[in-house]
Amino acid sequence: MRTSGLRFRLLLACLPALSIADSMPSHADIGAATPSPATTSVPRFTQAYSDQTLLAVSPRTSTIGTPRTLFASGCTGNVVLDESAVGNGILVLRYTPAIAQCGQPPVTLSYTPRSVGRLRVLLQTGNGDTAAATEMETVTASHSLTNIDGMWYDPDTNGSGISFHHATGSDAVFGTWFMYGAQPTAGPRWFSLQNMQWQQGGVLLAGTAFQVSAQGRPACAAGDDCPRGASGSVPVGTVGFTLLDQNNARVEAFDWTGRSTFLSFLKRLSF
Amino acid sequence: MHRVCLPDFARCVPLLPAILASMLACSLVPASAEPNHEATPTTPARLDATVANPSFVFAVFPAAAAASVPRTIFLSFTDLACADFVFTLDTSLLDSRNQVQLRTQAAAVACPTSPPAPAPIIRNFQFTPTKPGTITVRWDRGGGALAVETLAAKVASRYDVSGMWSDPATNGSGIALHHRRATDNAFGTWFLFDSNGDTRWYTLQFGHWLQDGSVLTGLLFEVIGSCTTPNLVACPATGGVPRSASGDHFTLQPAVVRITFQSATRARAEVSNLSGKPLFSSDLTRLAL
Repeated sequence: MRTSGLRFRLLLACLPALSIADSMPSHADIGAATPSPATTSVPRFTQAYSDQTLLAVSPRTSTIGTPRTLFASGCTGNVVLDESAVGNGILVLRYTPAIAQCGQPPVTLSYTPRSVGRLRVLLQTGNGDTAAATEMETVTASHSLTNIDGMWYDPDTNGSGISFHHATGSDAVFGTWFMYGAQPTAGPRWFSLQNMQWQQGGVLLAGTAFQVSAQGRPACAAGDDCPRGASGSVPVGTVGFTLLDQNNARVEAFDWTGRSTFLSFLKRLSF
Repeated sequence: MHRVCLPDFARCVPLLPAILASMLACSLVPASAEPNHEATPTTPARLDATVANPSFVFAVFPAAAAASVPRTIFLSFTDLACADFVFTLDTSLLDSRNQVQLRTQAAAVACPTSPPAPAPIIRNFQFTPTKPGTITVRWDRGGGALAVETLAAKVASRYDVSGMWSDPATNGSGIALHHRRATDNAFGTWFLFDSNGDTRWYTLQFGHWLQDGSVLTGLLFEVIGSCTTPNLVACPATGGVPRSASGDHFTLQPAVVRITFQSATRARAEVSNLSGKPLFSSDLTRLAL
């Protein structure tokens, strides 16, 4: 079963398949992955974009079956994936320079690794000149050291928190991060944590934060907040949740370039 | 009463026997209310934006629960923003006559603007029944007599309801419920959307069980906060349920949520405002991870 965060439409309906498939990839998963068409979705916890030619992979390290989002920024129009050298450890994004793309949000593509190891990722022009390079690493999935089910919060930012639901049997984790937006649209905002993978012997839980948007037609009175269907989701960054002990952890959010955007030291709420 | 308060998600750590008691103790005024001279500007709860001003609310939550469960009187009315009121909660007849009386005294008004602007005034007060029976709660500004029932025993939950619950018809939303079976305390967060399609979340607090333990009822609070870290669109921050400057009462009225569990995996959630007006409902299924 293939899963791609960029393709979610029915968020919650997809979650069981997503979590379980990603934690236990089948042979069909490994052989079926192909890149998705380029999109120009806006992945960000941050507002800043760079005019520089940049290449990034998110998440940079994960397990087989976890889709990676490839970001190419700069004057990179018409980016396509060339997988012909993957067997040699190289994945190429070929682009045609386009002035119209300069200063625009990065182009994103999806790629799902099929084997454990390092893959060098190159952003190249049609004639083979390399404009930027990075790496992605695919590791063997670990089993969690402990069940993290519960509500986690940072005493320093204690109006926010993460709700984790952790299935012991499948080791699948679904999270929702409750935080706040910045001005001028400040207010409560939540993000869905998906593609969550246990790594580093079950100490690190890494995944992607998605911003979900609702379907256009509200199901309740105009002006009111209410439950609605999801119309789509875009990745806003990656998340690393590192267990310090059973009830303490640190969580760090990264933007698409891998830069740390914020860090929280969490405690599990006891009640 | 000994209490340790942390805002909202960790509003109160359980140094008290029950978190509900501690949460109320942290949030609300003590049983014998001290005079309050504050007129707090408020905004309407976004769950019920059709109510521009909570013109008149007089309600008690929970209306039915066991003895020793604190009850909260929610009231709101519209008066001059510059008005000054003193509220007194009289519980002297609680044990002898099962009566609670809330009195309001208007103090002198010295309005800086002319004409003076009206504004909603929101307060909450707390009392704790000690024996089974029906208590009558009255307020001298109207609203009739509210009947508050005290059950003979605490109702235990029928199911462990921890998990992520969503309605297939509105599957971009859901409730994350955390239920500690040992104490039967339940805490939740409901992730919703506003009319622009942007995410909003609410916290479900003061949950308790009713009937045969298949009904969880609680209060649904809007949270207020802002990410102030430069260059970030969103981030964790302090914030939570809006309270007065003195911290002794909420400045937004919560909604009431009632979740009826038909089984360990299916439930129906009904949300209403404090006056009982239905806001929305959801037929929920527990997510199987």
